[in-house]
Amino acid sequence: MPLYTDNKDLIVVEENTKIIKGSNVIITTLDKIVNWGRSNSLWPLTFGLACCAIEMMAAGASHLDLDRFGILFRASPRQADVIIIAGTVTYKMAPIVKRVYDQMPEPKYVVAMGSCACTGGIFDTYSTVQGADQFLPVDVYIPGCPPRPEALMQGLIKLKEKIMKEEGRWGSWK
Amino acid sequence: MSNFLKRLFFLDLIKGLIITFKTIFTTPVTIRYPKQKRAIEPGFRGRHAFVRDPETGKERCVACTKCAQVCPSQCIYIDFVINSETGARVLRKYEIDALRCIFCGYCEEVCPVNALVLTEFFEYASYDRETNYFNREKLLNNWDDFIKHHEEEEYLNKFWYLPGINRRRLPSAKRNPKAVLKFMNKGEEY
Amino acid sequence: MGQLEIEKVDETTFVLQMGPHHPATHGVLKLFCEFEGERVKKILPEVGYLHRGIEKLAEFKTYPAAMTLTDRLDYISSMSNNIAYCLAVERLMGIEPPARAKFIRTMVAELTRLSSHLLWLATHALDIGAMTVFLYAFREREQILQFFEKICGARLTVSYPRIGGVRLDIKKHVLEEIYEFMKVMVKRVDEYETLLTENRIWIARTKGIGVISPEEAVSLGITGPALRGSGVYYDIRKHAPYDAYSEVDFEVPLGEHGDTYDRYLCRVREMRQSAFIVKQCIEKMPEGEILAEDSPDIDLAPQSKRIIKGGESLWSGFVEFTDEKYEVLPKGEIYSAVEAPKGELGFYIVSDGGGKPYRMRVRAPSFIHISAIPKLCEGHLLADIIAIIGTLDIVMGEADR
Repeated sequence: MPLYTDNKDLIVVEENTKIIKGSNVIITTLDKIVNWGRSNSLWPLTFGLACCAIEMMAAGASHLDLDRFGILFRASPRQADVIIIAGTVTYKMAPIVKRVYDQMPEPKYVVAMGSCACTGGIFDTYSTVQGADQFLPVDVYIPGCPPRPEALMQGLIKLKEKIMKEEGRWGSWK
Repeated sequence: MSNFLKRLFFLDLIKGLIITFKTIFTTPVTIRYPKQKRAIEPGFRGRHAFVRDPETGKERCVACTKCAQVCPSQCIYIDFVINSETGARVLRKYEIDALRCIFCGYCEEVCPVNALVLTEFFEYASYDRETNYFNREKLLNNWDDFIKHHEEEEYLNKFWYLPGINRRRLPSAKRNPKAVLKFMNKGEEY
Repeated sequence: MGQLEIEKVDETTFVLQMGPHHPATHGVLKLFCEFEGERVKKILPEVGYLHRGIEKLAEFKTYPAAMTLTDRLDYISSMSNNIAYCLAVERLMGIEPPARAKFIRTMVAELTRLSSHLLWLATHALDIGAMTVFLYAFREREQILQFFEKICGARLTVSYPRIGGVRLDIKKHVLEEIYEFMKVMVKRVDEYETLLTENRIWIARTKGIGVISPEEAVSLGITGPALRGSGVYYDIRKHAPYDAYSEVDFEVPLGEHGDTYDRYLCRVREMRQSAFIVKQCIEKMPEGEILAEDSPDIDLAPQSKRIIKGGESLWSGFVEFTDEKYEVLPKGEIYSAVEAPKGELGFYIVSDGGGKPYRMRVRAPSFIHISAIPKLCEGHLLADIIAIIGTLDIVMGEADR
């Protein structure tokens, strides 16, 4: 139900979103519209490392269709917004993950999926990076070994919520 | 010759297209996840919790450290003191790093008093690592969270009684475990 | 590291590094390719991007705990890995699992084979260009994963078998559901075949690609459906039956030409046979226990126990102790192999009598199949490399360990 404000010409739909009465105009902040657009077209990179990549594929396949959220897997880092670290990152693989991440355009987000990407998991060994956050700024941690496809979706929804709260991140100068 | 005709009239492709066309009229298998959730099978190994004992209101753990010993990824940290009067172990610290856990279920299987459980809750992604580093209070809160949304009146995990395994092998609490009743956890209302 | 030595790069040679994050390399395989025009002149796979040290790590875990590591080898068919490991340890210790456990294991191993082949079909078809099969195959795969969840509470990394049996019993209604699903499954396999087997695009992309003769395949060490595609009759389920395979009836499909198309046909026919085995297992499954009497507990004690000799009365800085070593399990070494969906998966375990394996070595089929890529790709086009990687069914978790 629209709320009526003191100003009789404006109808408040949500916080910071108003409709001008009798016209087809909606007023909102630039932050909000940028974040809205960004959060509804998160394009992750097709980048599987280990077991979690299989559950990532399952999330994109017919039973739990990720396309419903506007999440389309892109094979090129130049077109991607979010990188899902799905699996164990080894010391040999870490520079490549970093390189792929560097090739992504701003704004970019990182989701660590599964125990291995979060902390290294069971592989506390000489060759495994103990968590992707040692070299990447991780936004969302999804626990599970591997997480269910639903858990990945919940993580991506959490990432959407985080993007919606961002302020002033709509230019390369910021 | 028949092969040639098949190729000429695109029969090989048309047969496949008929199947895709038929699939249009079947009910879609897609689950609309945040609104509509797939039923989680009982015994799914999700978030860790300490069972809040209905009688004492505390955890059941007796600090035997079996779970920490058996854990393949070594993500359980226990500290205890020995009560000098009774000789019983008193739990001082119990921490689980859920982000290091691999959800094999060995801890709940080996627990002799059914104190620890991997609940069917799996939606706990976080923005930082600390949120999913569970200490004793958090583990008890996890249980309260879980049992509040549990649909049935009683809860009995399959790893608590291990169906099919000879009863003589198991510790006494696992031989014939009692289900945790939901209403007992609501407090003084009942 | 692993650089291809290029003798002399002339104008017609074209060098391409493919991977390790290429979407079609099935994980983190890197291929260093050298082309003559558009034909492959030389190819060198580089592995090790997923090396996590599983074999070394297993030496620090007790036998039951090391089983959880085997889940992460070939993560698409983790049941088979678990069973292979448990069988090796059982043969080492001389434990015989009960009949019901054997049938359950056979059933879940075949379910895993189905799910693994479905994933192979999905990704292989997607790489070659058939999108629909990907969606259809994942639809059925999700069902099988649901059954795994009902059986043991996890979808991929199951940790379901146990040394001397299995961890949990399966309820009757779950078995009935699986039985019903297997009837549907056979029809679904027919659907995939209608979509692909006669499809001219599929034939053009797969027939005559990656041909390997039986002699070459044997000398390269290829096993599993990739070997049977060349017409070599080798299946461990038939030659050295384990679990309940000697009590079920099934055929081993064989190919003729040893190309990508024949390997595809072999796998698809194997899926039908798997469904048939699962049905037989459910029909013949006896009642009874699921764990052998003398199987080790899950909290198996490690080899040495530290005994403190009256520490407190002594000088406070020093504690006198001895490491008492005792034999938990018999000494010895063993190699035991099973027919995993990818091929012969073997475990070589050395025991020094302690509760931890002294050495665990995995004979992973994927690793050996990678070594066949240069041979198979010779003289083919760039686009065919994708088909060849797909047909070998490589999982890097198993190859790099």
